[in-house]
Amino acid sequence: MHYLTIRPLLGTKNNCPIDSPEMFNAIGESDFITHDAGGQNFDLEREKNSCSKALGRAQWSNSANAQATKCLGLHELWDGTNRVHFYFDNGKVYKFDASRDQGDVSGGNTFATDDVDLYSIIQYGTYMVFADRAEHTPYKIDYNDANVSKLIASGTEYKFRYLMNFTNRIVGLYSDQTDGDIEIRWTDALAETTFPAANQLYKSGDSIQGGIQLGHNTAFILSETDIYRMDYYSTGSPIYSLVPIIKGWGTASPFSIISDGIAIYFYDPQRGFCRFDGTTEPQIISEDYEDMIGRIPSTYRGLIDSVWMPFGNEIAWNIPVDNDTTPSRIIFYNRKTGQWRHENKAARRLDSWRTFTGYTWNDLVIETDDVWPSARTWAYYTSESHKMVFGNSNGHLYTQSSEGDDGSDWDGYRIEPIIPFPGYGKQFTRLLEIWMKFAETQLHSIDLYWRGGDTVAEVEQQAWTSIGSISMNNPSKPILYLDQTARLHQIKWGTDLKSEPFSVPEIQFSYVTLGYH
Amino acid sequence: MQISYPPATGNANLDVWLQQLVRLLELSIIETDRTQGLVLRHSSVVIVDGTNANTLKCTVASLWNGDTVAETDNIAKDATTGNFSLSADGSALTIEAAGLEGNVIASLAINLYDNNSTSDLLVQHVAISNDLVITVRTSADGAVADMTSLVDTGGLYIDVLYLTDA
Repeated sequence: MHYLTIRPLLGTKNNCPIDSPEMFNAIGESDFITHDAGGQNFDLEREKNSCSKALGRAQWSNSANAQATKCLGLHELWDGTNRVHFYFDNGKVYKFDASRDQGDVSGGNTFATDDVDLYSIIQYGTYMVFADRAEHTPYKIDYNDANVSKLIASGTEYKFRYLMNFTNRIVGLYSDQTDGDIEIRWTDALAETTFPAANQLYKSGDSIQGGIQLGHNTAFILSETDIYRMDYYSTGSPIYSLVPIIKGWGTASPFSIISDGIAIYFYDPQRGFCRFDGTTEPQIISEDYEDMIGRIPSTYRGLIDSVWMPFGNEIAWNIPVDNDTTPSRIIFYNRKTGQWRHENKAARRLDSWRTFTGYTWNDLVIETDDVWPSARTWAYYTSESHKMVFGNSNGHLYTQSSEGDDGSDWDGYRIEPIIPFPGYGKQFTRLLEIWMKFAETQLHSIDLYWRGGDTVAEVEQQAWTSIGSISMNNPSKPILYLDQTARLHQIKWGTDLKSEPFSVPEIQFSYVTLGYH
Repeated sequence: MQISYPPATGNANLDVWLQQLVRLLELSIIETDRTQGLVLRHSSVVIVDGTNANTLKCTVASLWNGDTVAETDNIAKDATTGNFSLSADGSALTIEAAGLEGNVIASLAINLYDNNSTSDLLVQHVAISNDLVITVRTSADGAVADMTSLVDTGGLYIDVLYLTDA
């Protein structure tokens, strides 16, 4: 009997055959770190050096808002003392109260309502300021205002698609003026209520698709085909200058642009997701994930949103795939390890909120999916740590938490590449045992599936055969006995019900090589 | 009231018949302050958000025998812009006589037929110094209201009936 170990610690890789050497990193003669070959709803950050089931989603809002049509914006406003949360739905603005119900603070206004009208929302001082893709002039609200009101109090009421808070000024991009698609305007420092006519620049090239600050005195303005650097000179006239720095790279997904404070990331329709540190040539970061990225329909690429998750090292984008007309899944890129994964969650907008608690027993039931938590502390569920939040089309806000899909089953699994037994398919291998290591004791079992064949194509066409399960409840022998003979072997493993988390650092196979055939 | 025709013969009868005829003529016209040559006019006034902050964009159009004032943008508070003036508090819009056919003698009736603000409003109308002045108040307490804020959510559409001297 021989043994081979795989460690499922790398993310999804779908740009090569499932037996490609790129699917493995060998760390010993029979010890490999593997990529995932097509799984879903797994996580590589919840527990280091293991593959866990991804967190599900839990409804955080107590009730849906009155529109309940499409979430076009989310924002957490923290003014240093007060923390309030806003939800934009189909032209209306709602503020959550202490009971997590949403009150209309639109002031009778109906802002932009189309799917593509993702609001550009910034914080300036104690105010949240937002633009509804240049359909209205920017509006503002602080934590205590009864309703939103116009930002601009004098001078032309410009309308903008995108806003930035940059060097104590509100910068508006893509205005409603003549040639506004390449126009940049800004307020004077700490004088946010007017955009003086002289505070204006045009960029060259294609229409502005968004901008983002990186560092103290620099921002980057992106179009679909170029990137401009916007530099701040406190004594200059004008105080900003535009420098074209990159040609042939850019984005058509304005809200795919995100910064982790070190670099900016964006979705380039010609290349996939890219990382740009502001000085050197952008890097394509999604080559491993090309199969998924290539399924993004160009018609709806403008709906992509993004969020950087504090503490988790991951950046998330929501994307539509195939025939989707709105985003249907959230993909995650680990900026430290470069690994990709996805969760099946439909979301129009993403954000990161420190969701306040005010927890009730009913809330706990939702978070724990009706199961008394055995392996978590109270703080795990009730702390005010940052969580990814998202809204879709039913007027509710959801958090990335719990071990279920809003109380329903949550199917998380991982598909390992072709197991790299010696010979790589030139000879038959008889697979007899699968040993699993578990990083956490759980009351349930993990399910395993097998398929095999003579060629990679043949394996991929085979249906999965259930080969049983292994208890995670402290088994003396975490083993599954089987007897499968094939040239190529592949396994799929995970759990498909709610309240069935897992954390697996290692899988070991016992096998016998049957010689050449 | 009816009278026979022809009148009965005799001077006395003719006098009576003529008095009745004069009375009939008096009944057949609108009696004003008996100033001759007054003209009745009916116009619409459209008040929407101006391009600049805290301004209005207004238009006057004739509904019947009325006046026309071309769309005027950026009507600021406490100033006269074209043929419009706006009070300092934004509540009173004056349509200047210079933009009208004749001087306004009296404003007779007004109707706010489309209110896209989020407040219930009352509209006051009066002729002052040959101009037509429209003032907006909230129906809740009758307090004057700033039109530049009211039109943030949509326009105010008004028709007004008034008399001019020519």
